[in-house]
Amino acid sequence: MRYLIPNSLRLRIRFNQALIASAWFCLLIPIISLLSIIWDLLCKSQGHLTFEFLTLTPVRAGRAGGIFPILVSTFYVVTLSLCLSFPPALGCALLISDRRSIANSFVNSLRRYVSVALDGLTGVPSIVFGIVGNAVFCRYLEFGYSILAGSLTLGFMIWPYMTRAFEETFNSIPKDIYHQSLSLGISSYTYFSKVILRHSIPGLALGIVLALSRAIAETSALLFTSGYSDRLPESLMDSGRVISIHILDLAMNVTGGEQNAHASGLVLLILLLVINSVFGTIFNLYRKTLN
Amino acid sequence: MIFNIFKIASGVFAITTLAIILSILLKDSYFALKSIQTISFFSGNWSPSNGEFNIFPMIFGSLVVSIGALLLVAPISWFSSLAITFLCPKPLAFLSCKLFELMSGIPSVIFGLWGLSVLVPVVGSIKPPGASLLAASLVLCLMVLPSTILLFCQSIESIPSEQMSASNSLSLSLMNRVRLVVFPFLLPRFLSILCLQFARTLGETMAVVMVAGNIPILPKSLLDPIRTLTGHIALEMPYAEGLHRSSLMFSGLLLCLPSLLLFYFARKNLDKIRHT
Repeated sequence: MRYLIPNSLRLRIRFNQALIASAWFCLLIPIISLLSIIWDLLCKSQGHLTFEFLTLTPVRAGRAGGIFPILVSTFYVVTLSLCLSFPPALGCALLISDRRSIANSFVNSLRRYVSVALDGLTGVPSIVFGIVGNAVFCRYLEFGYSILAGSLTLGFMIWPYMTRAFEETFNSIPKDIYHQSLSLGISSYTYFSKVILRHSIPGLALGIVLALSRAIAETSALLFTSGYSDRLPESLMDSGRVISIHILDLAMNVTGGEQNAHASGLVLLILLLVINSVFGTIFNLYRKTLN
Repeated sequence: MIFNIFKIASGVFAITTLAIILSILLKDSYFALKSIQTISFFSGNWSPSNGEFNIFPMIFGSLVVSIGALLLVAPISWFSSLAITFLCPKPLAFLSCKLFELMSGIPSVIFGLWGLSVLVPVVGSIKPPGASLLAASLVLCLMVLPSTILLFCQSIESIPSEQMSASNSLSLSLMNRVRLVVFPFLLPRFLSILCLQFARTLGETMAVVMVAGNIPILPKSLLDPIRTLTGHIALEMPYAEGLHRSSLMFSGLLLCLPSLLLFYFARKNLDKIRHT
């Protein structure tokens, strides 16, 4: 026997089916295209990504040879920028997440403005950091195109992200601990060094890893600050080309550099993956054992 | 005491950094604003050696590319977050979330490289040269998709469990659930997430430079090459001097202000939602 279904309900059923179908279809779009990116990188860099590729210097503007000096200058720029941005990020995160100074109206209002400023800094496009870094460090302070100028600019760029990550860890410390420490009457420095730090080391490390992966991936802030030179940097005042600029240059300006561009892209991707997965798992496990 | 001074100093440092960035942009673009009449920023051609500084095509390009990307991102990420949260079996949902997490960390240069070597030839087979508005929008769309989907999934999971279990007990169909529970509850949050992504697409440089074609003329169709503000700065900054450089600083300022505002309002909105 057939049920009588009114037309309006039938329409609704059709709509529901259409919605489900389009949801499945839309899930496929990003998955397929993202897999295609990786597939493209793997295919086009086939045979180019060898051990020699990592240890040789680039020949003929990168068409042949390897990327060793580029990896070295990437390492310099990223490490230096992390070292530079760590102290202010720590201080800022402590200031924002400080529960002890709620009564102090000056600190309280400062905290609100700092939070707004940090939102603003995350919103500034990286190319703007690039041109401002160029104006300040390369021209005004006369560092020229150098690793120092690049890492200073990059440090300013990743600093707000680091602060946000630190702030999250500090906020996740249980309230009981804070009340207990308050009842003991310890100073805010002791509270930081004996209580907060012990609880938040894995969180801090995760924040640094986050900033690190952002710093490695960055191109446009370094375009006008750390420069294009693909020689091995000898000091901090030398110009050094980071890996993402190398990819850009090979793909855009060097004809016949596509395969090496793809190989360098694959190196960059593997580097990011290794950093994220290895450090991420280690510190997450550590955090679990700590709690 | 020293510890507190350190905290307050780094707080003040945050505010001064933002102030310094804005003031340097203002100071350097002041030269251009003073010597170029406002009208000539929006008429004529872009040829700095002849004293013509029309940046309107670049502003238009930035807006159109970002809006195009957002028009693609909004429905795709909305539907796929529905699929992940309501339709997928648990393991599949977990896997796709992991994939998207992984993908949201891919540097923009690699998206640009993919666009240059895969997408541009495909678009070029329709109408040469493939480097165009369409290609730029598609690459940007792909770049922000993973993080948008993840944020959407997060906000769908933040719906109070009473409402979800109530809709389960009524065995609502997917359409009714979306219409009656998810959509009214999450619309403001979706809008602020899209605002954040709009700011991100406006500020993106490398992926766009590699696929947009970079010709400073107003495009006539979707398949014409286009130049965005970010690409404009990236391409001309290395050899710009004097008035030219100052006008580039002005375009940096133009780029900076809307994304600052978008970020500020989106964050404020998200915080307000979180606290209620």
